[in-house]
Amino acid sequence: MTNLFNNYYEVAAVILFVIGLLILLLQRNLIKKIIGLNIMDTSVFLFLAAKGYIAGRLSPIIRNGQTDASLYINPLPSGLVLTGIVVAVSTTAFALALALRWYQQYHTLDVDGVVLKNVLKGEK
Amino acid sequence: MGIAIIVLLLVGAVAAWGCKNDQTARKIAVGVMGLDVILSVVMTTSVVSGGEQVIRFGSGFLAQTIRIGYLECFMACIFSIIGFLIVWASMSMISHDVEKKLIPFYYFLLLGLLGTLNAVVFFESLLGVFVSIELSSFAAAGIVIVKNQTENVHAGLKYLSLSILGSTLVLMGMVILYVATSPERLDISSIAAVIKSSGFMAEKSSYIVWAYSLITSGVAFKAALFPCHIWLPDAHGTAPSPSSATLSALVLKAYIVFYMKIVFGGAGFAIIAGSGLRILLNVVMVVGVIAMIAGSCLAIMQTDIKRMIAYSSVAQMGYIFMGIGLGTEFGLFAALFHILSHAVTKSGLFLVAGSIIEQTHNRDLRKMGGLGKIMPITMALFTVGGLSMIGIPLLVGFNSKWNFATGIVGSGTYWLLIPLSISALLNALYYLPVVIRAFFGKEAKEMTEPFASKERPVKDLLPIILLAVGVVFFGVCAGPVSDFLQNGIAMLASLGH
Repeated sequence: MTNLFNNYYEVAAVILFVIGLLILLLQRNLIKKIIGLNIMDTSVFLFLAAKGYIAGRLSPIIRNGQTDASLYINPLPSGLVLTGIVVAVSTTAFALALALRWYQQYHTLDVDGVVLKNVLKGEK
Repeated sequence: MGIAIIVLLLVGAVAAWGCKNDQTARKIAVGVMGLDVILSVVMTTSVVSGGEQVIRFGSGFLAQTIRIGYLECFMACIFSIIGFLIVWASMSMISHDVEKKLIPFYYFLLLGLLGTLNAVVFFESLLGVFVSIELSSFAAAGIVIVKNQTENVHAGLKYLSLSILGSTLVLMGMVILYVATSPERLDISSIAAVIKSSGFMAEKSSYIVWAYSLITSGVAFKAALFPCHIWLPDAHGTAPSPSSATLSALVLKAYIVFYMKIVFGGAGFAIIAGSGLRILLNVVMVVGVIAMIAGSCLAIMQTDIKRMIAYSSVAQMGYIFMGIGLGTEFGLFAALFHILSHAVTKSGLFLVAGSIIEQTHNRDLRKMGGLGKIMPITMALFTVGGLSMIGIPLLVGFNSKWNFATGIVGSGTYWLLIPLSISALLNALYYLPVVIRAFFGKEAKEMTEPFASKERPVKDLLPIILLAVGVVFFGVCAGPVSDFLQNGIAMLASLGH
C-alpha cells in the first residue's frame, strides 16, 4: 500500500490508461473514442516523464560548463515523450479526418449502434 | 543496404503519388518493387558472405541502429518478392476496387506500407521500431479505407483504433523495459547485454516479465492473436484484394518478427527457460492453440469467400504464436518457416478470391458450384493453396506442419500434437468443400447466365501462378531455407554477447 502512495505518478498513469482503454472500447461515439485514445496516449507520456525524472537533478542542458552526467536527468525518456506526442497528434488528426468523413456520409457519429445497422441495411 | 531499401520504397511511394496518370503510377510501383527484389537479394548475398551489418546514425537520444542479420534478410526477401508479385497482380485488378483518381494514392500507401514494414524489421533501436509501427498502421488502415464504401470506413476505423491500442501497449512495455534495464542505448542488443548479464534476472524478474507481458498483448492486437483478432475479418474481408493479400501475408508478419527479436534476441533461450518469461510464453502457447481451433471453427461458419480466408489467417497466426510459445530453437524455426509458408499461400488465395469476385461479382461460397468448369485455372490455383493450408505433402504447408510437429516432440509437450492434427482436419473442412463444389458440383444458375466463361487472361493470372509455383517449390526443397533460418536463429540468440 505504501508503495502505491510512493509511486503515485505511475499509479495515476495506469488508472488513466485503463480509463482511456475503457472509453475506447465501450463508447459508441467516435469523438469519445478518439478522446479515449488521447487519454491513453497521455497516460503513457506521464509514465515516461515520471520514469525519466530523477529527484534533485537538472534538466539535461549544460550549465556553467558542468559536463558531469550525474548532475542531469536522463534525456532519453523526454525524447521518447516528444516523439510519442508527435505520433499521437498525427493519429488524432487521421482519426478525426475519418470521423468527419463518416459524419458527412452518414450524418451520425455512432459506429456500432442501430443507426449504423440501418445504414448498412439500406446499402444492401 | 538496409537503408537503401527503405529509402527506395518511400521515394517510390512519393513518386507514384506525384504522377497524375494512374497507368504511370502502376508502372512506377512495379518498377520500384522490381528494384526492391534486386536490392534484397544483393543484401542477402552480402550478409551471407560478410556476416551481419550494423549501421548507426544520428546522435544523442535520437541515435538509431539498423542491424541486418539473417532473419532481417529473410523478411526483406519475403516482403520484396511477395510484394512484387502482389503489386504485379494488382496492375490488372485494382481498377475493379479503387476509383481511377485514387489509384496513384493507393500505390503511395502500398509502397509506403512495404517501406515501413521493412523499417519495423530492420531497426534495432526501439524508438525507430515504434515510429515505423505507427506509420505502418496508418498506411495499413489507409489501404483498407481507400475502397471508399461504408464497410471499408467502418473496418478501417476499427482496425486503426485497435492497432493504435496495440502500439500504445508496445510503447508502454518498451518504456518499462528501458527503465528496468537502463541500457547503454535504447536498442535490443544493449538491452540483451543487460538482461543476459549474470544475476540480473534474479533481481529484476518481475519488471521484465511485466514489460514483456505488455509487449505481448500489444503485439497480439497488431498481429491478430485470437481474442484480439476482431478487426481482422472486417479489414481483410472488405479491403481491395491486393490489400487483403498484403495485409494478411506481410503486415501481420512484420510485428511477429519484431516480437521474436525482442523476446528471443533480448532475453535469449536460456534465460527464458529459467525465469518468469517461461510462464508468459506458456500463456502465448495456449492462446495460440485456442486460436488455431477457434479461427478454423469461425472460418467454417463463413459464407463470404474473403471472410473465410481471413478467419483462416487467424488460425494460422495461432500456429505461429504456438511455435513462439514453445520457447525452443526448433519452435522458433517452425514459426519462422510458417511465416514463409503462410505468406506464399495466403497471398495467392486472396488474389484468387479477388479474381473470382472480379469475374463473377459473387462473394458467396454457396453459389460457387461448377465454378471449376468456368474458371479452371483460377480454381486449380485455389486448390493448390487450399491443399497447402491443409498440409498435403509436397506442398509448403506440409513442411511447416511437419516442423511444428518436430518442434512439439522436441520440447516434450506431446499433448500439442492433438490440437495440431485437429486443426489440420478443420482446415480441410472449409477448404475442401469449396474445391469439391467448384469441380464436381452442379452449376449454379447465377454463374452461367450473366457471366458465362470468365477465365481471366493468363498474363493477368501469371503472378498468382508464380505464387502457386512457390508453394510447390518450397514444399519440395525446403532445405536451403531451413539452413538459412537455423543460422539466423543462432545469430539472434547470440545477440548482446
